[in-house]
Amino acid sequence: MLFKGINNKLRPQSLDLHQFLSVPFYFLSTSLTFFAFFPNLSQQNMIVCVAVVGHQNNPLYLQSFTGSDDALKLHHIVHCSLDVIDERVNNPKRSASTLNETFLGLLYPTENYKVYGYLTNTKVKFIMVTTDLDVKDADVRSFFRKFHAAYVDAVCNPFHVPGKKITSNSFSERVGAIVRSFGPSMTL
Amino acid sequence: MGREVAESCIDGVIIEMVSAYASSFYSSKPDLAARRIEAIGFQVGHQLSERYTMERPRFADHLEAIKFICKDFWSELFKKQIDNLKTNHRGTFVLQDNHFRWLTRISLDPAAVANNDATSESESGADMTSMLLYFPCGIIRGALNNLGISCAVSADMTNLPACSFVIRIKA
Repeated sequence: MLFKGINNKLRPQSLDLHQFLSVPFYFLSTSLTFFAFFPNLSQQNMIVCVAVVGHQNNPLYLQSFTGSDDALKLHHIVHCSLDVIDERVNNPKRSASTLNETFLGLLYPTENYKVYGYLTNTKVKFIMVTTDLDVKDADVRSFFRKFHAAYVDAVCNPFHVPGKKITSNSFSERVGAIVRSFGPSMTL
Repeated sequence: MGREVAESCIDGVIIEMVSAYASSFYSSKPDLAARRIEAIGFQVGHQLSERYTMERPRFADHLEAIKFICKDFWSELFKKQIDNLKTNHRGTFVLQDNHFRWLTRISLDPAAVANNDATSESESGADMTSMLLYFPCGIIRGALNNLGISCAVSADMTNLPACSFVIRIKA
């Protein structure tokens, strides 16, 4: 009865009072259920994927933090964001400090992702894909600082061959801890 | 993650590594030993530059990267800066250190070396020192390579303890 009332645009006079009053109640009930689920959503991981890409655009580390069915899609997003980084770097903007490049990358058509990038002095790129919509700049910068520290420690491992993938378990654990600590700071 | 080690341990490890490679591993092929020592220095320089450029803005050109090597990098490694930097503005830089820290423990005193001629012991002393200098050459080359500058580094030790490193940028 409700949908008949909404779809029936040609004959508005057929919408009687009972149906008209039930429309706002319907929206109110759906919004209440949405907000009831929202606190659970904020406790999940906002970060969906992190990646480390070397200076020849070779992947050094790629880790996704959601179910494995969309891992390939995240790889594709990371790959596309490399192009954006390249055009930012090659664009001769004479800005003084070009070390921290936090920028909004792609916005995926079907879902909302935000892609942040960070370029180190040695042309190594860190890419972070997050699903949160209102991410604060300071949070992303502190995330990248911690991530940079973990990356430097992983590279200083004498068994790590420069240019090959990072296979250290302790690096994966540290990255996981950093990603987990990124979430709750968003609730400010 | 800062744990500290005594500096004498670093000196001992480096001296022993150089003598192991030069005398026992590749004793008949000194140039292979030199290349191996330089390769070790290359990887060390690679990793060290990663660590010491962490919170710096990016370098605009080669000169800024060389100045970083002279000032911050050198003071992290040897607690002092390079004393003199010369360039011909065409890709060659000469870094002069008047009191190179790792060479202060090297003695070329002929009396300390027994049962050798005067000529051969001065040769072996000079050889050992030049072997030792391949390691910091490799460190500089590895650090610059990580910053995107490919170069060749050689050392010149005409008057100890001062030594100069010549960087030739391949472009």
